Amino acid sequence: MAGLIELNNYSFWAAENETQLLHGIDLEIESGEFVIILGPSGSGKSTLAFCITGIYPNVLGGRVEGVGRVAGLDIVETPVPQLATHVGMIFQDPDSQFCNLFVDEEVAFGPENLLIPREEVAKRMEQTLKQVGLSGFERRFINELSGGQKQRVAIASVLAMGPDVLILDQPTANLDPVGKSEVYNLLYELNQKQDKTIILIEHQVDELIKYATRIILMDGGKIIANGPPRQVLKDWARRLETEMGLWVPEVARLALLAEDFWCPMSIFPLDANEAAQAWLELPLSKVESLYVSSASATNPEREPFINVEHVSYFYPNGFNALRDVSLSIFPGDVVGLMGENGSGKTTLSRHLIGLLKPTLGKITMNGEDIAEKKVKSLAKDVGYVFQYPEHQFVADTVFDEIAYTPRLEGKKGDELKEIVQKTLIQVRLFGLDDRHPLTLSMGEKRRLSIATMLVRNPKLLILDEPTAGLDFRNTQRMIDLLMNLRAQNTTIMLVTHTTQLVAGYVDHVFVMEKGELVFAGTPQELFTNLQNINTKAIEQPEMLKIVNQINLRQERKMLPFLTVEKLRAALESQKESA
Amino acid sequence: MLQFSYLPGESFFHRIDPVSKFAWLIAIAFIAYIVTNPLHQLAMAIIIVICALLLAKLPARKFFAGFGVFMSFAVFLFILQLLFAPPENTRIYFEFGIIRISEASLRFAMNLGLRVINVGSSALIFTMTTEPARLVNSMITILRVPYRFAYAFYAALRYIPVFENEARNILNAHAVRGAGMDEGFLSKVRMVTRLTVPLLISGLRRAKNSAIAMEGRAFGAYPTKTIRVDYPIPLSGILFAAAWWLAFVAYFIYMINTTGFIRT
Repeated sequence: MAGLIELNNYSFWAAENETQLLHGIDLEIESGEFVIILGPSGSGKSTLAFCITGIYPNVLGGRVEGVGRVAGLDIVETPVPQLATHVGMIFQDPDSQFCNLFVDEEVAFGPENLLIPREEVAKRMEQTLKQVGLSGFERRFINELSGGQKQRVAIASVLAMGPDVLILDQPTANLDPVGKSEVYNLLYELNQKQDKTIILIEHQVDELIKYATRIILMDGGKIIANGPPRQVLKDWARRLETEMGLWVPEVARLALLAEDFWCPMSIFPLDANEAAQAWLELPLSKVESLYVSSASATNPEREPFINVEHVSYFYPNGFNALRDVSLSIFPGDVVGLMGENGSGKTTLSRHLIGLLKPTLGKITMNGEDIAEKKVKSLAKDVGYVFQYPEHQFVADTVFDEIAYTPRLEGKKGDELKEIVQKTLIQVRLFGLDDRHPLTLSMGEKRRLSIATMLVRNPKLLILDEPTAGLDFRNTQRMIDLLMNLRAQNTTIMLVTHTTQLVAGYVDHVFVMEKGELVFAGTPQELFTNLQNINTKAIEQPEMLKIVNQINLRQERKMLPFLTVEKLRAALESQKESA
Repeated sequence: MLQFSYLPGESFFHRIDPVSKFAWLIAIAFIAYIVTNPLHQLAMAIIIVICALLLAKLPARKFFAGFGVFMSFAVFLFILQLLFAPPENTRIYFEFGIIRISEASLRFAMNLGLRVINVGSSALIFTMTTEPARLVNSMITILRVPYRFAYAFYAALRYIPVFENEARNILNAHAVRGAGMDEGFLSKVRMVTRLTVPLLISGLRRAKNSAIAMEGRAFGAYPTKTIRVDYPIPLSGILFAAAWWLAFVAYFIYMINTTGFIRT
């Protein structure tokens, strides 16, 4: 039987410059599969998705060789609108894929354009909104929905066209953990109950592996691995991380760690359960340093650097975004600020650079009230790196971008050059002086936006989601950079949803929920106590899930390691002391 | 910009069909144009405000917030006319160099200012009470505007809040770098130029994504689309618009009879 999607020796050349983006792809996907596509950026994942939906070559141009069929229809010959009734696509940015103002209009848009009779349109609208759990949202403004709800509307509006296949290109990249699990659960349900075929392009796949029937690995416009998740991960996990710079699930990293200590696991685990079981079979699991914590030096009494005292904030429209928040930040710490979108994290962090002034309460920095300072003078001490680096760029070359603030301060000539070069080296952008900032890669843009803040030697550096959308390699570079800054005693605040970042590198975490501070403490305290903290916005670290599974199965309780790296460090400390 | 957008609600103005409402809007523009007596113009302004608050049931705060924009423009024109309009042999209250405030210039100035307010505020009522989708629907079904054009108009509306949000983010991001917090006209100009490039770039990216999304949703597969909802065309709306046109004709005749000519 022919597959639902079939590509035979399919190649694609881009319209602009005749670059070959896909090289002889052979692919067959059956009805009801749940496929994850992995690969570095530029490996052709999105191109492949556009080719399957006919957007390449029929909307965005380009040239195709080979044969491709979806549900028996030739991809190139079939008009895109007709193909869209068999395969639908959902994108990363929820805002640019909507064509209407209200939810009902959006869902009805596709069927209306296909001239489907109105009774049927109404029926489909009701059905698909129910499927995505948004019944009753018909007359809501799309613009006012949460990120997760927006993506579910996007899925509903594609489902209303009646496709059997959904292709999703990083649909959760802009979402918080709540939105992310809403989308993942929905996809799983559509796959299991509605028998929809799901093709998902993602970077971080920890929670997804358990749903997937297949992983396709792409590199350089080719499919280099294609098979059951366990097999592909077993064969490729190490190379994924070291050679291709991709995220590997923590369970797989644990298996790699076991190999590093010369005792491979009996199966290559895909979830915490399997990982715990396989781990306990290893002699490694009995190592003493996994059970006894080495006494860590307690911090000496320190004076706080920043004090937030009973701060409340009301937006001009009356929305109460901060409710009596009090916290202290100590010099040289890496601080994490977590919470659901709309919980007040951004509002709080914008107070620290003076973009917002507290309605009630006060904020002091080294004892001085910052409300009395202007953004401009505060900016000498506090750097703020926005999530979208493009927003922050003001110049036409990388050099001018970094030189912008020193110039404002009157630096010029060799002194200016020296400052810029030093900063370029610091952020690993040396030699890119003449490039236009917008032509850099995402990882480079992020580091440049940090560089523009570093030239002033800020005492506090605030970063909004610094690793969002970055692959493993670029995330690692970002972390190295931040740890270097920390070593130079810069206080760092990470506004983030990313559990891995907080679990691995943060000294102190604050959690916001509906404008209130609901937690302040160490990552260890946070993650081991998650059930007692009033928030849904935080995921447990994968490694800690494994530890919990392990401790269910044995008398002696293993220490709560938050990351595989921390476990590795404990094992290595044992090796050294032995 | 958001202060001009549609406010869902239940009122006479929300109920009547957009085409009648548009006819009403044009009638007001015509009347405002031929009225030269500031008192008559003021009377119409009061009627329009009553329409906004009672017939359209707009929340006073939101209505007057949008109103403020026209108000500042109206005040600007008022001052200009007041100081520089020719006195036309009427009494002069004040004179200094080329500035002359006369009875005639005061009348012109008041009339012109109120005219701006009348046209602007009625347009405001129109946008605040007209659901964009229904406007598109009426454009297609009643005025027979091709679907593609009607939709393009609608798509533009959908991007206003997105760009507004983006512009705010960019300004904040620049402020943190020590740029754009200065007062003064020149720095305002610089601020706009700094905003243009990033907004344009994200606009282009969005335009591409939108085109892909629309194509994937079969936009343009046929020259028309399923009309999902039949909006009523209430008789009251037609009568309402007709009444205003009648008022225009009546006032026109009155003007010819009393002054013999039509001029501001």
